[in-house]
Amino acid sequence: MRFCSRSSLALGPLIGAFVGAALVLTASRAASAAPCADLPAPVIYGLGGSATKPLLSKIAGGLTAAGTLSVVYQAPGACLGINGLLADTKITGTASFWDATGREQSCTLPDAGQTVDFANMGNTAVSCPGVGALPNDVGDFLGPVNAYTVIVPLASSQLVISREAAYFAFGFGQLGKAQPWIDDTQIFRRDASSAVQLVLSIATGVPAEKFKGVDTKTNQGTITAVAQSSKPEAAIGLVSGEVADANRASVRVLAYQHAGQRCGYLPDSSATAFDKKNVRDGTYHLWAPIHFFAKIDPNTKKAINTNVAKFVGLFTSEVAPPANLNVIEAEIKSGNVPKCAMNVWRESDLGPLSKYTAPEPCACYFDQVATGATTCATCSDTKACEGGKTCRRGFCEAR
Amino acid sequence: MKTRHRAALAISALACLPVVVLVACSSAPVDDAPSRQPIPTANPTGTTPVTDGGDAPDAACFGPDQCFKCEPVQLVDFLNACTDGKCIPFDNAARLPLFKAGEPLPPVP
Repeated sequence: MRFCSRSSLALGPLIGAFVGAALVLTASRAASAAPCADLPAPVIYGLGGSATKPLLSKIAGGLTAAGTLSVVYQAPGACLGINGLLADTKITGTASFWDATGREQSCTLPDAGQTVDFANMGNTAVSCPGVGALPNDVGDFLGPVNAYTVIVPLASSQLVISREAAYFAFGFGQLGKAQPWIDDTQIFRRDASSAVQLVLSIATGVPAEKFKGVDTKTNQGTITAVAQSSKPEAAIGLVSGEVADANRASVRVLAYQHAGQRCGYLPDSSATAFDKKNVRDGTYHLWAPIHFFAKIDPNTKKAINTNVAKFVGLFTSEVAPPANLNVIEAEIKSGNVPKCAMNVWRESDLGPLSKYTAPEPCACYFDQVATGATTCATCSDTKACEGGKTCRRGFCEAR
Repeated sequence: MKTRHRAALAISALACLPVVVLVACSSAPVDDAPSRQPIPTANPTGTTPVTDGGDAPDAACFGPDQCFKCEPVQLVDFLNACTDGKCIPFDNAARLPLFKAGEPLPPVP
């Protein structure tokens, strides 16, 4: 189900309640963290989902180390980010920042509230409740591709789930009779503002606000709940792919078989691989690019806040990163797929696919970084590529 | 899906034990892909690639295990593309009592 046709007026109070609850919750944790405003300037403030924290830790940590920028981020939920940006919501309480090693730290926002500079989530804005088309003064900047996954405990014997099984498990709970996922206390969901739940909603047809089960609040909350389940065969949850990758010692990703698909695929070529082969080729259905949103000049389409422009420009390759930060490598090591490594593309959340050839491919580099090996030839300033290939990042890429 | 896969999954369902059938499908040349009418991106009721009742995909486009070996155009073509990767079938008919092949899924309560 898509939410772009919903009335923003009707959902306004609901969104406000979500945001309010999140801010009260975070405010209660604001015990002794140092003021965010005391971080090395310039500081930019983001709001959105928790799915991208592994990526943010590498990028923001690198920017901190370089002394370029301090990124402060609060993660109450994907759609709360874009709604907060559109409504000029001032965030309070505590937020995260990343030190020079990429380690997540906490700081305190001003009591009077802090304006949000950018929003971040794993789905398009129109998939969020209360958001129709973006106004022309808000830009949508694409980051790398992120997979979305259905996970089970390591002790579960299950290896695959179909769209229809997910429909019955998450839409009906016990009443769905989709063995072994029939225990509502072992079905771990998020809420309707979560990117992973929105993606699964679009895939399965279960309305995002009607998922059965226990709300785990965050991606990490789902990992903990699924991994520590006392009934591992019955347990199931939803998380961002990069979070699942970071927790393979605790949970296992199920292969996903979409409607009309003859069988299910993992995001990777195997349960132990990190090659994202099936995402890159389009046989794994549940993926979408990460989105950054910021206020822009409608004429130039550039972010008005120059520091935000520097930040989002790293992901769109419009801004050169500091010498210590390799953005493509950080994206790959976070479990994401840069667009330059994709062989297919789509323009909407779980929309139609088309073949894609990157103007400056990084498929060889992706394989090397993600898996430690590539079949591509190496190259250098003194060792050219053969067969019309182009040397990029030390490998002979297709063009 | 091949008969042996259905049988294996049916036995699995009866025994309440999961059975995994790994399916591999070799890639094939796509330079001779025939043209055809668009087909739906997804079948809401089944697991078999479907058409809209218009021009059916050329039978020559389907390789072993019903993988799609022609140039993909529709979403379902990409999802079922022949690859050397392993995939794992989930038999809706055998495992989902509320699933009725050919019928819409019941509304979420």
